[in-house]
Amino acid sequence: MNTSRISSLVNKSNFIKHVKFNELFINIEKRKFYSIYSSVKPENTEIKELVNQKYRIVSGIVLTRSPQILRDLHPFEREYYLYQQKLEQIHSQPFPQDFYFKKGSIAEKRWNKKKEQDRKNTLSIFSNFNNNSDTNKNEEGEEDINDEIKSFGNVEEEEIKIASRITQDDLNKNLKSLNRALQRTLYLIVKKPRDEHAWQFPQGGVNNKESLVRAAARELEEECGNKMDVWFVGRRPIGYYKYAYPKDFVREDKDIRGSMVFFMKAHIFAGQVQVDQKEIVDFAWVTKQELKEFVSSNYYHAVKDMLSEV
Amino acid sequence: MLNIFKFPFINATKILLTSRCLQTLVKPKPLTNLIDNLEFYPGKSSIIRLEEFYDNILSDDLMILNYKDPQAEKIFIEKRLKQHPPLTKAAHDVDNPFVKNRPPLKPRGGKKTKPVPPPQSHESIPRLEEIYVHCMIKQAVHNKHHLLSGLMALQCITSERPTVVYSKTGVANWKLRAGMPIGCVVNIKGPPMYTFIDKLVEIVLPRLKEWHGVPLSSGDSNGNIAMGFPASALSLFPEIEGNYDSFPLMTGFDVIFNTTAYTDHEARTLLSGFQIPFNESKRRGGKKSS
Repeated sequence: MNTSRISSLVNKSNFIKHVKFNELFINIEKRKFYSIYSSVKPENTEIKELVNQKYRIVSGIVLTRSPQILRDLHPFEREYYLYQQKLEQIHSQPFPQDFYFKKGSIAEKRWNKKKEQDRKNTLSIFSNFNNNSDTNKNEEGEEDINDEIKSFGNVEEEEIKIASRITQDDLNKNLKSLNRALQRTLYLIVKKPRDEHAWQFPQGGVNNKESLVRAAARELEEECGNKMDVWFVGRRPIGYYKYAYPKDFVREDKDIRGSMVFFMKAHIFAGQVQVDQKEIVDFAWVTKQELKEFVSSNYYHAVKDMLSEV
Repeated sequence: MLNIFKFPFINATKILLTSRCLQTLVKPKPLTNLIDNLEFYPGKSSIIRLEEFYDNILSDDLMILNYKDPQAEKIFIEKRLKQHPPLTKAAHDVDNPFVKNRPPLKPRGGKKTKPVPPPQSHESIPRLEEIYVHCMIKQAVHNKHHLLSGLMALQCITSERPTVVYSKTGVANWKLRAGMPIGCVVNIKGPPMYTFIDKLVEIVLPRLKEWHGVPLSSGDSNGNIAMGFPASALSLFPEIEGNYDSFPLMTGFDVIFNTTAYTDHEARTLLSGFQIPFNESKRRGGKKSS
């Protein structure tokens, strides 16, 4: 039972190595497609069948915005790291003071004072009353050192404000903003003017003698405008999704049964989508989990393995 | 194929017999890492930006960029196998009495064999394994106390303790004899390795003058890439810039990146993922390659 299940999974899987793309491209209507490596004669019967069924080749774009900040730590993880930090401090080699500070220099005095202060601070946790009497005595003797240190160049440092890890767009649930869910990978999905299967990744048909990347770049510009800085990762697709057209669908060639979408991965570095209101009417930047609520279960199942969990 | 692992004792005796090796042998880390132990080493103490970046973003992109279809992969492996030098006739002959009870014969010629990559999988995505930071200090020929400055500088920028390198051969012109301490080297892995790249890329490289990036000629064609820097680069590290006066001697240094990639091209894509710039022209002032 197990083996049959695995084999079925392998057949359905959309991981790149299970599809021989060159073979596929050569066979379609006997026209030459561009492939990177070699032109191999088709042997794989599975692909042959696919092509004989006449599917339209479509190029889809998985446009990602990678995580902007580090992830939140799990409480256990944080505790573990704190413990390791303490161990590291205990077992670290002693600081070579005589290498870094000349004897009797202001820098050395400053360092000694800071060390003393740190020692007192740690002691003060255990005994408050002892610490008070000590500081009164020491302050009189250390006045001259304090003056020296001040003249040494005690520049007032501006306080660094740490920005919030949750942005305003997170609170407003503004899905169109790229400044949200900073810890997660965001994916661009667009809405087409129809009722069913409206939300999907941007996609478009591949023209004659056009590579998948070229087609993807062209479609992205047509649908989402040219005000984005985008980089496509390589020239190979990262996954595919096959679907048949519904019976009442109006099409040019009646023989064509459906579409086969090859997804190309791309990164966005700057800019934003501009909706053209013809092909698409809306867009959203969503995480993998949010994507599930927008698209059909079939589509999500085909697409989920190529999306990042982080 | 040669199988030297069949006769491990032969290799071991070879190493132990040379006295020079004994001096430079690095002590292995203890098997049981207990806190009471003197050689205790603590574990990872924080999450690291570049490591997270590699795991979440870069490794995924590298898989897509480096993917070879089965045909291309086969051609590549055949090409590698062809480069292996042929074995001698005696090595093929099993019945030969000379071969019996002797270590396997070496192939002809002094060429080193290039490793053949395993089948592609998620495990074969190129990964940065370790970095060697190395510096040679010429002044140490006359006075070995000059080494201290280099040792401290390397310890500062890498946060690991360097080991002293002894010269293997003598050079009469430099008044260098075999066995003299001449430089220092430090090997960094894991968290310190990533923090070192972070410092190098974010702080040092942008402020280097007259530097056009790592030349494409760098690399041993097995996915290990080395680069050299002048003494002025060492003083740009934040740890050294802060107390520049403490170091009596600034030296140039080499950085060697060891990756699990099987070609230089793959290693370069990995390193440029960490934002290390590569220069297309082979040498400064040389012809530009197309």
